[in-house]
Amino acid sequence: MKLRYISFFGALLLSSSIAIAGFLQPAPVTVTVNDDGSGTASGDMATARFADNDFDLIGCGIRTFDDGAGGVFEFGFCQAQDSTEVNGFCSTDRSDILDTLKATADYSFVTFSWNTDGECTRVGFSTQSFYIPEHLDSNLPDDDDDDDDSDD
Amino acid sequence: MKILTALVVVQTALIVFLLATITDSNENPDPLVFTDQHSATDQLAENPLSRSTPREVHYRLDEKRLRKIIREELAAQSNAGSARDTKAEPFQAYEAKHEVQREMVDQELEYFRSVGAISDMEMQDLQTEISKLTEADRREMLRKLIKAMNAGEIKGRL
Repeated sequence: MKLRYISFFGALLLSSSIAIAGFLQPAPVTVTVNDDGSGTASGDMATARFADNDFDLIGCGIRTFDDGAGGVFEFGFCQAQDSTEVNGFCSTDRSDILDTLKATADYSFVTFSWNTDGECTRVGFSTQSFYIPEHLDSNLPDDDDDDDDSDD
Repeated sequence: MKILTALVVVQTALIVFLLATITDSNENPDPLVFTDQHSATDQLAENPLSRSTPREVHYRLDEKRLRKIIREELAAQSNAGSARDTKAEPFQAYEAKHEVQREMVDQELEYFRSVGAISDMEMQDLQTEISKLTEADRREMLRKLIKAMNAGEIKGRL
């Protein structure tokens, strides 16, 4: 009897965990800096946010200012830092690249490149299901550490 | 023979007279004489009943009036020149102001480079100041900031 109950609830638990599944493809932040100062960076935001270190970060943004002369100054930027604290930054005021920057979304995969002057030469976003974390947690396999950084 | 001689004498006399007249006009220049000759059609428009004899209008300008006109023209030109200079002053002040702003942002960047770090609040203030520069200076200052951050000379976040 006890075995039946155990089997029943065990099956119930297993079925509920199977329902919360799907393909995952975590992309930890990587930053590559060349000798001339140019470089590339990539990574998905969820994996960076819930990494088991205090360094990983990646993202892009846009700033808009009143230039004090009746006009507006707008520039975009991307930045990334990997687990070894290697940084990469770029900025741009090109309207076509700014349009791409505006396409970022939650849990996006971000990739960008910059030239020797720190100008963004390539920016890309990918919003795929396999970048969305299961429970607002890292997409990487759990370690022994059970610290859960839930936003709610 | 006598007739020929007479003609030659008359011709010579005429030439001498013309020469004398030209010489006299060079020594004593006549006042300027402008003749405005109305055409026959203008005359008919004014007085359809008149005949076709053209009417002449003479304008005489003496030296005094000429000097007066020249003085008025020179005064008008000097006024136009000072107006151009006055318009140039605000533009020079505009350029000087932007040069000062650019220098200030450059010095701030040097300060953050010497400190080795920039806080989030300082970054926002710096970007606001950069936004007030000219387009070329904005690009240059942003380039300097990003290069310094990529080189690890300034630690911070955008």
